[in-house]
Amino acid sequence: MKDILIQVKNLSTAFREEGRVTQILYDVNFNIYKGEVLGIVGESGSGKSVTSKTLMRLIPEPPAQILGGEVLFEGDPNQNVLKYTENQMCSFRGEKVAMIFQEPMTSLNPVLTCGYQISEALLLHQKITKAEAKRRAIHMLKMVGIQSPESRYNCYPHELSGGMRQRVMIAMALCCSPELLIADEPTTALDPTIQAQILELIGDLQKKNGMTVMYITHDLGVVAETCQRAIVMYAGRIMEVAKVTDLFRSPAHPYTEGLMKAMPKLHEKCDRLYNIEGNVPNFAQMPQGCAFHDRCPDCMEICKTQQPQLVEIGEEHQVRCWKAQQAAGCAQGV
Amino acid sequence: MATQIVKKLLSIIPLVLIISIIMFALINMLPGDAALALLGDSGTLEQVEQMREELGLNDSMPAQYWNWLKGVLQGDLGDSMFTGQPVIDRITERMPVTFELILLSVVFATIIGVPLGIVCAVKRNHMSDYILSAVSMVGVAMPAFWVGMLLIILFSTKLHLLPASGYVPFFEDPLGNLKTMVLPVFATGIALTATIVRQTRSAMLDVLGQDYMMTAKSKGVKYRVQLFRHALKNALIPVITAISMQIAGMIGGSVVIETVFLLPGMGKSMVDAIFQRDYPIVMGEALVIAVFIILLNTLVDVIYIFIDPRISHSGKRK
Amino acid sequence: MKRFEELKASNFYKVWRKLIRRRVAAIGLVVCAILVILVIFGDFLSPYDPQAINTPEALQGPSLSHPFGTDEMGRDVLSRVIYGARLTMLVSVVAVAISLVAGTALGLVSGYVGGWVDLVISKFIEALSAFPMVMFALTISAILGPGMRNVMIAIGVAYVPAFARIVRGMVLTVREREYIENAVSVGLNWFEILIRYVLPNVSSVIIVQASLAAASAILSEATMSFLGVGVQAPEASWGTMLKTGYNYLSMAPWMSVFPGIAIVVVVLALNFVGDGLRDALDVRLKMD
Repeated sequence: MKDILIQVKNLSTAFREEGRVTQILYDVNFNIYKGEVLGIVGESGSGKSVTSKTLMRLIPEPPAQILGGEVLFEGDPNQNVLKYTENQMCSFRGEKVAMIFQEPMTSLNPVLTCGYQISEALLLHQKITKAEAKRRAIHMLKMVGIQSPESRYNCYPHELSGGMRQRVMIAMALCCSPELLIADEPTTALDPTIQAQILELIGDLQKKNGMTVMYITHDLGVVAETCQRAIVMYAGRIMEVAKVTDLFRSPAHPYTEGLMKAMPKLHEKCDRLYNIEGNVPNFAQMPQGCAFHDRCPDCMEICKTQQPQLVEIGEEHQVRCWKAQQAAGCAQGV
Repeated sequence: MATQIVKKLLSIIPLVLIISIIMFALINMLPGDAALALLGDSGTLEQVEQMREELGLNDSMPAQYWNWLKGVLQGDLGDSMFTGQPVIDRITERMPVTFELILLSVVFATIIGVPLGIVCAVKRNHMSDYILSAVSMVGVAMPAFWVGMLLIILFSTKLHLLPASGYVPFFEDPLGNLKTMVLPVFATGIALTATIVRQTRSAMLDVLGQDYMMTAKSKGVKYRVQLFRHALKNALIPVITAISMQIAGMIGGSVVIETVFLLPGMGKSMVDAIFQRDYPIVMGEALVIAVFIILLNTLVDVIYIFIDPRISHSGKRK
Repeated sequence: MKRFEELKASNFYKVWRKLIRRRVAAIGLVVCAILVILVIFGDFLSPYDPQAINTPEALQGPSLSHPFGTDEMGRDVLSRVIYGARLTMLVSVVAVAISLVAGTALGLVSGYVGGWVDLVISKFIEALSAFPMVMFALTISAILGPGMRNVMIAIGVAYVPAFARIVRGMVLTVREREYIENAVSVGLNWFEILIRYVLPNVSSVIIVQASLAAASAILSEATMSFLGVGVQAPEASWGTMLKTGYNYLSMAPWMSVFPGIAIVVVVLALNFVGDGLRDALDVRLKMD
């Protein structure tokens, strides 16, 4: 059995605006195992970003509100991140879990030097001198592939390109060797050539340090290239969890299938890209039954009225779909 | 950086010239002239003519302007048409009062306004935010001289705590000086305080919503440090702009504040000069005030270069 | 043509809805409406003749018969505040109209024509902005002489640079848009383009600036009248009332308190409306 790094149990998050409460996450359950590379896939608005930000309690509360659930560090019931005090939270963030964001252009503070922003993180979590922090920060800059790190140390973010800034972000996130790195769409805002470099860099560092990485992405290509396991989210719910090889070989959920079909393929000629009919449902007006039923090509009667549960249909393969469960011969109830 | 500062300083010159021309043109449109005003009804036509000749009023306009400008470049702003006092003396005599008034008001407003603005932003949509925001809306809407009058009613005539008027130079009696300045400074500073509160609030809210604040939080930076080191430095840039833009208005406001509190400053002096049609005084003081404000704006631009690293490279923000 | 009218009507309606949904803006509008009523029906609403001298009752504090007290000549302060609303608003509205027309014209021409015209106008604007508005207005009214008409002109002229600067900035951004290029390529001359294409695009900025300028014009009027160059006695504006009140500060503070409160309330209301309009029209006033 693999060691659990983070266990998310029944997590539900909502946004409260002008008295209206809109639920964003519905009973999210999953584990992150030590040393693995996990991908969370979904369209924008599927709740994948909120999930990752809830893990680190980065979403502003209010307006967000965690309705219930637990986030257990190392699966230990006594280490519920959601119950941490502010001080515990500050040593958890950055030291145990670090995050890099989608927009390198705006994720660095424009009035502080890159070097300062890295060594600040070091000084926060480790008892070292300023000179030592600077030395290590420069070492980190070198490690993420920045040329002449000594001079870049004193650069302000606006003096660097987008790819360079993302490297600085990575250096900042990894400088305290966190156990989990959450990468929230780390390459979406970058040029395709730079994208590959950044993914490769994260992959190398992950292998070298035995770190756990969680990718948040809408790009199945990124998942295929980098992850071992993937979670497919839709409308605030986990739809399918599987090893990446299984997911691509035999996707069980019609939504996952749709996502696969929508991916452009290099070696096949096609006149038109496939797209899934309809739109992600509005969080304020969730359809009854399965959240995906009105877009689903294989919708059955039961899908319109009853919500399916997340059920194990194979080794490390769970799916939330009536049809897939029937096919696997493990239909619950009804 | 040095070349930028020099460039900024050089760009002042044409502005000052334009201002002096505008002022000169305006002053020469003033009805009546000093010769008539000086002699009153008793002067004969010849006397008036002679007086005009002496004062140089019979020269052509460009010539009068040129004479004045030549003098200015040699440090001579002319003499008052009424008292004969050199304009530069009058300015050096009156300027410290106005300068002290403005300086104290800015310091007062900044010390009070910035922290309150931060409180508003942090406690957004809480009671304290609502109250402070409402109070600062009212603060902006009050005429400064009316605030001064209310302060006189309350602190001078009712409570007898502070003098309603008068002025003691700081170096003669520091305590007495401060005592006479409390009410004028409060009256002048209240609108600025309110503006600073509003500006700081909106700038902080803007900055707190930025991605890099989430980055700081994700690093494990403590809340207090997030606020002061990561947010405030970014938020101060628009606040400084707001302060610098208010100072021109405050110098204008000093005209009426000095009238209310009978302070012998430049504002009062200029109003008197306008009514007496004492051209050299009005010209000289207008020039000094305009140069002061332009220098101040330049100083603010230079401060930006230090606060905002983005400027020193691109030359302009964004 | 009819459809165009409909569109405009619905647009206006949308902005109106957004405006009144904001509570403070709605309060501001209500206060402005009350003010308009006072200005129009002041004669019927004021309890006394604002000019009626009644020396035996001079300098009386607030009471049931004179809620705001009486002034040095026994005139009812409440009636004079109501009466003063008229002149104060007149000065403010006319002054803003002057600066709006002149400033918009200068800004449009400067921003659209560009070249040396822009250089001259913008340097002029920049130079005038470096001079305190009150002092500028004072100088102008010293030239024109005291009196209500002249103070309107003085404040109006003093506010021209602010309008011109904002409109110029907007024109510079609008000018680059494609529909302007299209209009040029179709062969419209610059005057037509300015009026038909540029002006509507900067109008929301002008509207917001006008409502905020109206508020600050009231403050300027008060200042000018206080210094003695504005509305002259026995006519009453709130500013002249404060000027008289200043001489009776210790004896009759109510003479200064109530006109001042009137100023604050109206300025506040206009600021509320201005801020509300800015949000409803989604305008960001650039001050550079």
